[in-house]
Amino acid sequence: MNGMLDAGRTLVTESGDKITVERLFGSGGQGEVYRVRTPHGPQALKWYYPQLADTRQRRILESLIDRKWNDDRFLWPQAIVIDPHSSRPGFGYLMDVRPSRFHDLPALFRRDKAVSATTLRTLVTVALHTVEAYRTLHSKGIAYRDINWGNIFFDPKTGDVLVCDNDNAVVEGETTQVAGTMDFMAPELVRGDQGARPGIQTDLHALAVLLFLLLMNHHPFEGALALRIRCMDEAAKRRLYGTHPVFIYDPDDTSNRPDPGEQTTVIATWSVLPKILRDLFTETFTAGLWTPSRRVRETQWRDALSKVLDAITVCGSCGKQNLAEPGGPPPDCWHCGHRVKLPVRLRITVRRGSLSTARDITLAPQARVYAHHLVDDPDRHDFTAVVGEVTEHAQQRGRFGLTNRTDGAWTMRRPDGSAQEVPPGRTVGLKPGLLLELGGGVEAVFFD
Amino acid sequence: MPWELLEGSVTGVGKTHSQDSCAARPAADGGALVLAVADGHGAAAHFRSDLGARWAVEEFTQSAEVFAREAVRLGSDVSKWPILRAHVRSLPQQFVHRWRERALLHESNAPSDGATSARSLKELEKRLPVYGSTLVGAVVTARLLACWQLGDGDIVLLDDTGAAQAPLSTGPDIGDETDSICQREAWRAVRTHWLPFTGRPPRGVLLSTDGLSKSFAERSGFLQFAEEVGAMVAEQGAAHVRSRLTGWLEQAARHSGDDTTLVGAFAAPVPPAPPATTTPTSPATWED
Repeated sequence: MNGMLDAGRTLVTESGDKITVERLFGSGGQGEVYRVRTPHGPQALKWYYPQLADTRQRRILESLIDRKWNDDRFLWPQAIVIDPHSSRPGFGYLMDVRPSRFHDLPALFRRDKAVSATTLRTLVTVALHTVEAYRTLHSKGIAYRDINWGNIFFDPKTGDVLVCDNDNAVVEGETTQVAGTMDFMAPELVRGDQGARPGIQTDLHALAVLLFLLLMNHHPFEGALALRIRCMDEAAKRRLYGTHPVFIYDPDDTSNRPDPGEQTTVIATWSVLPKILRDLFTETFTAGLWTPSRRVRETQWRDALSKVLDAITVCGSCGKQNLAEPGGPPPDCWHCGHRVKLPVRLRITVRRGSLSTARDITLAPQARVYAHHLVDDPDRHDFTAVVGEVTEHAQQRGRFGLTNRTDGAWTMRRPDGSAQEVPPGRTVGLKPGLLLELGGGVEAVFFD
Repeated sequence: MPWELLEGSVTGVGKTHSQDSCAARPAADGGALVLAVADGHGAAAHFRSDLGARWAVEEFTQSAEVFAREAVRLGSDVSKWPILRAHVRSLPQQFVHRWRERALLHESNAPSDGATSARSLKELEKRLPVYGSTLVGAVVTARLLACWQLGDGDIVLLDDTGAAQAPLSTGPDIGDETDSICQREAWRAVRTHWLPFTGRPPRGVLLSTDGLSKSFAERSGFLQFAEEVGAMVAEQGAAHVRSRLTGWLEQAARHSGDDTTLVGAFAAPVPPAPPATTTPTSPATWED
């Protein structure tokens, strides 16, 4: 189906590169995305609907492009494109083509086969990467302003994320129009409160909605009250998301609980969500609705998600991954109902000056220790930087150990005081009480 | 709205009654069209699926009319398109909820298993497959098109050259398994398509139950049929096509053995064209 630009149309970037339109990828809320041919290879072009291609949007784009951001988690605007042959005003921008390994969230909600590789571990990883991506933006003073489920794409195998549609991002404090849709907007924006402006504080609300959708596969305000609405028009949405938002698991208001017949997924996912995350969602969707300063910040999400990720365990009866409360009791398997036996855990202690930080990793089969475990405040969780990996003994099935995946030797110290070197590629049995020196002053102890 | 509507449905060969249902009608005071087809599953396990299909069309239509009014009200303001797009995504929860309420009420009042004592909600829910159906729907305004699909069936768009595209097609069907409005959280399985008319708007939109596409040996034959129907509407007028539609659907139903339903909306041709002598290739030609 054709859009604003016909195939074969020639456009130019502001630096003079000629680009040729190949085909329409799809239509969005603000414009259309095309596959184009450029001197540097195939790229994607977002072309704005004419009414939205105004000087304000162009100024935002120029500011973003000037930043020359080179972060692989974002499809960042690279160059403004204009049509030299058209008398009508209009423009768009070039960005990289989204690699096919990334899928959208609706595919997850529909349980598409394309995302069937998704596991609990990759899902929590996606949430963690999402938080870190927005934290990076916010730490540079940039508000995204339009966080929603259409802007995040994920790799079901690795949990990597790709943030698209970054062209609404502006420097915090800049006067801008409200962007986004009501279901992700902070209530004060939906209500149109005096002085309420989209910014980092309202991004935090949208981020929490996105995380809830990702982990719970449901919108946090769409419970029984939403199902009772017969005519879901603008006024009804304003009430649901702005004037009378009620978190479906508000501890003090049960009026909007999920319908047990129609909203079964969220009932199931909430029941197995570790308390550390349930508490954050409850805080941000109750107190944080009315007091923006009480919204959960990215670092809180990051720390909680990281702990939950490290506490994921595997059911010995059915082999399914299970979420567990970090440092808490063993869960009952969400799949087969059996009590999951917690495996040996590793407590890593990182010391910096007089401060020490400890974190626990559940050493389930295939669990890994990463470089980010060895620093007290990681800037980013990099799941390619593997330091150690739980492996099964080649001859003795059911016997597991931690294999050194670094280039340097570890030192193992037994409770009796004896020590032994663990060279790269060698494995240490998971015996409670054993201490490992991982280098850089980092120590780790196995414990039950 | 300068659109012509088509609507036709035939019962499968050897069947006592059709389990398909459909609607094609103006909405938003004539500013929009709502189209829908539903295919009740029909097997013994779904012996009330004719009711389920009818309710699916009716409840979709009611929810879609709300969207249509919003689309007409806000559609000329491009800055409101994200709101409309979000509405497209949330619509499935509404019509699936309404269908479910209606099916549960009916099952409670007229138990499909002949039960005479009151039953719990859980027991009633277990009977919902009796009413199982697919649903394919669309809303067309002067500014945009939105489509929804739950389970099998087809949506075909004809671009301004008359070429056919199936935006929600998921590839060849494998077996008879399909998503259904009776399944748990069926709204999750609804696929959506959103198309603002920024270039030349489509010439036509066709929705059909799978009885039609299955009557063709090849998918390309089905798409060619859609293109030829569109061409015939453009050349000979919708009234002429309406007069022949039932015959084509009967021919398709003979080949697929299934109930066969088609609704469509076609941009009314501006200049009257002289009658042409071509006819669409019948489904049988591709089947043979």
